[in-house]
Amino acid sequence: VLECLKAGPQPVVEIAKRLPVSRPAVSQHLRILKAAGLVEDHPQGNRRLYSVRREALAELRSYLESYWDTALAGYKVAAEERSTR
Amino acid sequence: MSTFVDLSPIVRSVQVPLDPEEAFTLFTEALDEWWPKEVHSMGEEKLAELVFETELGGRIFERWHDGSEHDWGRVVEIDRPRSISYDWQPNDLPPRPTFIQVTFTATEDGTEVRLEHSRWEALGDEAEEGRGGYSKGWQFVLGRFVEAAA
Repeated sequence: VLECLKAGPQPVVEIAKRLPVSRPAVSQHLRILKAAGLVEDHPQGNRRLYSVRREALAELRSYLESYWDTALAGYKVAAEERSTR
Repeated sequence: MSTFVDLSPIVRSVQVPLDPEEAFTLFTEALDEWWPKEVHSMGEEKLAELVFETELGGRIFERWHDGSEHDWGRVVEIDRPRSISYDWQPNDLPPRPTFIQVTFTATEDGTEVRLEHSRWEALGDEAEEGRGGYSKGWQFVLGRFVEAAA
């Protein structure tokens, strides 16, 4: 689904045409992606257009950077304790 | 849709006052001594210990108080004490592992430890599998990310 959305915002029907799954299955995928913050939707006329929320990857990057900062800070403290033993 | 997305590896380095062998041992076999388990583990209060098997194909896993084991990843390359690489796939849940390489380089007053986390963008695809936000393993990484983003 994310692959299909790389080209730009699209409605469910267009996404379903490009995938070997039913339209309800696509809708289900989109709900999960939206709940995870990876896609967003905007109304256009009587339908909704879905697009990739690019900030999500930037947020994931930022989360992982802070994850490793926390872990390596613990590592450095332990290393300093070992060196003074 | 023209926003630039940076998918390059995440790189962190830290200088420690140990020689490379000691730094390597602390990072791996002594993982349990320093890892911030209270914030970065799947088991949290259920966690008994962290085990890092330093051999090719060795596992990195959590052992819980109930005796169960929960994988973080698997060693794919080892060149002690210069480097170790492992696939990182908490609880085998992300369909594709991300990749971590840690190098230990001797410096004048110790060792520079450099960690590179690549293929992490694959985590973004996990949500598509539908197991996404509903599994403990996935929450391990993305749950907090989603919370932070909310």
